[in-house]
Amino acid sequence: MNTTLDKLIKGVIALVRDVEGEDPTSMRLMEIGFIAGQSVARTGQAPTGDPIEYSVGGSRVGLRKSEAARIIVQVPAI
Amino acid sequence: MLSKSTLEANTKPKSKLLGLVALVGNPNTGKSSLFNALCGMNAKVGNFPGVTVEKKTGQWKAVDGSHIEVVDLPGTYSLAARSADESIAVEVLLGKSTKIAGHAHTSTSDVPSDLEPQPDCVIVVVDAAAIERNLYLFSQVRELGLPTLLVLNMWDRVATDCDLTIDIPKLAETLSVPVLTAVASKRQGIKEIQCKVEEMLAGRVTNQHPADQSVGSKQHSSSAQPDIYPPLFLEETKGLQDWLLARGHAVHRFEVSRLLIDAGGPIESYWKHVLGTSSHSDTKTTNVSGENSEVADGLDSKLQGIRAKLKEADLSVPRMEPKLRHAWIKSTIKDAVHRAALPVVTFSDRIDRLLTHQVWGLLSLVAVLFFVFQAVFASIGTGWLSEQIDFGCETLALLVSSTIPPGALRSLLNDGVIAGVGGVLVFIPQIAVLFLLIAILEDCGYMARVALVMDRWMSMLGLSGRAFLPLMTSFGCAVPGIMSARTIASRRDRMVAILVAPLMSCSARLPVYTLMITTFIPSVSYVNGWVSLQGLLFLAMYSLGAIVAIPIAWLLKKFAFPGPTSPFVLEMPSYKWPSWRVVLSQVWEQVRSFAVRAGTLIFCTSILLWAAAYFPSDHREENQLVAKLEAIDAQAPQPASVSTSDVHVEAISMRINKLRATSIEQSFLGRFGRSIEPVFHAVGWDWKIGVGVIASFPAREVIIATLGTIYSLGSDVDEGSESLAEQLRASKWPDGRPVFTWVTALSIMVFFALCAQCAATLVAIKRETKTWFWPVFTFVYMTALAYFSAMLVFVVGSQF
Repeated sequence: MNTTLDKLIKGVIALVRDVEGEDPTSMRLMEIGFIAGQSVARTGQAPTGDPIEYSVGGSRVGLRKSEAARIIVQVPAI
Repeated sequence: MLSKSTLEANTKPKSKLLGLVALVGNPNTGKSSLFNALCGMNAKVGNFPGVTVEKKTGQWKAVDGSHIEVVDLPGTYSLAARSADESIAVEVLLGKSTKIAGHAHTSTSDVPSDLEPQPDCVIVVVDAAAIERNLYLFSQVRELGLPTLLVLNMWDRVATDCDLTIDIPKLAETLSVPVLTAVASKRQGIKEIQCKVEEMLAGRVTNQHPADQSVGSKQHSSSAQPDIYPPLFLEETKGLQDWLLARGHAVHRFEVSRLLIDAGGPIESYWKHVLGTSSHSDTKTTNVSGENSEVADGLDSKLQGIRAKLKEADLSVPRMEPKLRHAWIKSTIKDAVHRAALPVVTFSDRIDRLLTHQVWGLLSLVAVLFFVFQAVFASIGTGWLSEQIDFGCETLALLVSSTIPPGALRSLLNDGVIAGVGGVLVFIPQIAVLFLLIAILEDCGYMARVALVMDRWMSMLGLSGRAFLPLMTSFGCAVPGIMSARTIASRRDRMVAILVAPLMSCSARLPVYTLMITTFIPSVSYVNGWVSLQGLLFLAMYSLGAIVAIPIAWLLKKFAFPGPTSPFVLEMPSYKWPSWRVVLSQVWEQVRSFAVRAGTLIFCTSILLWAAAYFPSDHREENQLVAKLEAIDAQAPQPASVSTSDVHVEAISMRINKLRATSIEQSFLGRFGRSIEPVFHAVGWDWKIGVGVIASFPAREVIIATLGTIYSLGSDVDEGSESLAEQLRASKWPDGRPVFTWVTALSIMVFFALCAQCAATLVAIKRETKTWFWPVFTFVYMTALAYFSAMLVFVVGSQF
C-alpha cells in the first residue's frame, strides 16, 4: 500500500517509492538518501510533532511534515 | 598579536610546494577535525551540518622537507551547485575560484593569476557509518578526474558496530581509488593519510597522461572507469562541450554535465552571462555587438533541446542524477559493504526519544540553556584567572606609578592602557566557559536536536530550525553567526537570520551586564540559594535581544522579504562524546580572538579616548600636587605617626579631585558630551555614560575601558586601587543624587542589548549581503530600537 512518509507511523518500516517534484528541496531529499528502494522508518519527532526524524540509509534526517509529504512510500500490507 | 599558527598560514613557506590537496565531504563527517589533525591549525569544528562555511587553508610538511597545502571546502552533500557552499566547492575543485574567498566572480576577463590553481589531489572524507549516502559526493568528485583518496572517518563507530561491515581492500578495488580509515578526532590514521597523499602527489608527475580527451590540465586515469551516466547523456555532454569549445571556451566535462543537469543553477547563469556579456560590457569588447547575445540565446536553446531529448529517453534532468548515482553506489559497493537490512534502533535513537520528547525534550532544552547561563555567571569575577589578571593589572599600575613621574605618560599608561585593556581581559574566564559549553553541545550532537525541537517555533517567525544555529552562535559572537547563516539555502531565511543575528546577546555584551548587575543589583537568592536575582536578571538580559528579534523577524519577513516558508531538511548526527581536542581548540580560538581584539582595537580606542579625555586641559597643578602627595607618602611610612600631615594630605587630595573633575569636563570628550547631554538625559544617563556609549560604537566591550578611563581620571588618589564598581557607585549628579541606580543600570543594559555597536558585525553583514544597504539598515534600526527602549525603561523605571 502506498502512502506519504509523513503518515508513516512509528515501528513500521517502509520502502521509498518516489520523491515528488524536481525543485532543490526534492533534489536534496534524494541526494540525502530518499531514493526508490531505500527502507525508511520514523525514529523521533520534535515535541510539537513536527518536524519528524527519520532513519534512512544509516543516517537520521529531520523533515517537516510538508517535506515528508513529498516522499511516497510503500508500507507492508498488514 | 598573531598566534603562531596564523603566522605560519600567512607567511610564504620557503620549502617546495609538493601539491595542493582539497578536502571535501558531507557535513558531520568530521572533516574539520581531519583538517585540524592534518594541518595542526585551529579551525571551528562542529557536529552541526554546515558549520564549516569558510574556505580554510593549511599545510603540512612532507618527509622530504617539501610541504603540502590543504584547502578545506565547505561541507556539502552534493556538487550540484545550488547553495553558496556548493558553488564554492565546485569552483575550487574546477580551479575556478578567485583567490580572495567569498568574491563572486562575474567578471568575464579570465586573468589566470586571479584564480586559485586546481587541486592536485582530492581527499573525500566520509562518515563510515553512513557510507552509502556519503559516496554520492564521492561519485561526483571522481568525475573530476583528479587523483582521489577516500577516507572513512569515524571508523571506531563501524569497528564496534556489528550491523555494518566494510571490506576495505574490496572497496578500494571496486572504486579504484585508495581507501584509508581514520578517527580524526582521536588523531588515528592521520600519518597514513599524509603518507598516501605524499605518495600520490609524488607519483602524479610520472603517471600523468599528457593527452586526455577532456579539458583540464590535471586529468587522471580514473576517468577511464565505467561511467555513471548512460551513453546518450555522455554523447550530449560531449556535444555541448564541443559547442562551447567552438565558441572559444574550453570547459571541463564535469562542468558541462553540471551545466546540463542543474537547470537554472549558478553555472547556467554564469555561462549565459559569460557568453552574453561582452555585448553589454562597454569598452573592452572587440567583438561585433549582438554576436555574443546570439551565442547566449544559442546556449539557451541548445540546453533546452538537449534536456528535451533526455526527457524523451526517460532521463529528465535533474531527477535522473540522484537515481543514477544511487544505482551506481548500490551496484558498486554491494560486495564490499554489508549492512543489516532493517534500520536498527541505536543508542543514539534512545537518547533522542528523551531529548525530543514532548515534555522532557523541552524541559531539557530549558535546563541546558539555564545551566549555561548560570555557569557563565558563576564564573564571573570569582575565578582564579580573573583574580590573577586583576592582580597583574594592579601590580603593573603600581610599577608605573613608582617609576614614572606624574604627567601625561603616566596617565596614558595607567588610565589609558592598563585600565582599558586590563578591564576587558578580566572577562576572559566567562567567555571561555560560555564557549566551552557551546562547543560541547555542538560537538556531542545536541545542537541539531535543538534545531529540530525549535523548528516549529522558528517557523512561526518564518524562519527554519536551521536559523537557530546562526542565532545561537551569535550569542557568542555575531560575526561567525552571520557567516554560518550562509548554510541556510533560502535567501529570505538567510537575510532575516543575518539581520536579526546582531540582536542576540554576544559575548562582548557580557562585561556590560556583569558590571551593571554585580554593582547595582542586590545579591538576593530564592529557593535555598538555587535561583539568584542576579542570575535571573542575567538570563533576562540575555533573552531580551532574542525576544525582540521575534517581532523584528516577523516584520522583515512580512515587508522586506515576502514569500513562502522555506523547507527543513536536517541531518541528525549520532550522539557522541565530545572530543576534547575539538572543544578546546574552539574555546582557544574564541578566547584568542577576544584577547587579540582587546590588544588591538580596544588598545587603540583606549589610547584615543584617553587623549580625548586628557587634552586640552591644563594638568600642571594636578601633577605638582600628586608629586607632593607621593613625597609625603614616601616620607611617612608609619601611618599613625603624624596626624597633622593627615589633614594636609586630605586637603591636597580634595584639591586634586576637583582639578581632575574640571579637567575632564574641559577635555574634548567632556565638551562634546556636555554639548549633547539632553540626548543622554532622556535615557537617564549623565554625559560621562553618554560619552562612554558613543566611544563604544566601534566595539561595545570598549564601554568598560571607557568608563574605567573616564572614572579613574576623575577619581580620588586613594581610590586609585579600588574597582570600577566602587567608582561608579560613588558618582553623583551635581545635586548629589547618585548617577547610577538600578534604573540607570537597566537602561544602560537594555541599550547595549539592542544596539549595533560592533564594526566587525556590520562589515560581516556587508560581506554576506554584498551591499552596504543592509549594514546601514541594521545599524539604523538597532540604534533607534536601543535608544527608544532605554528611554522606555528609564521612564517606566523612574515611576518606582
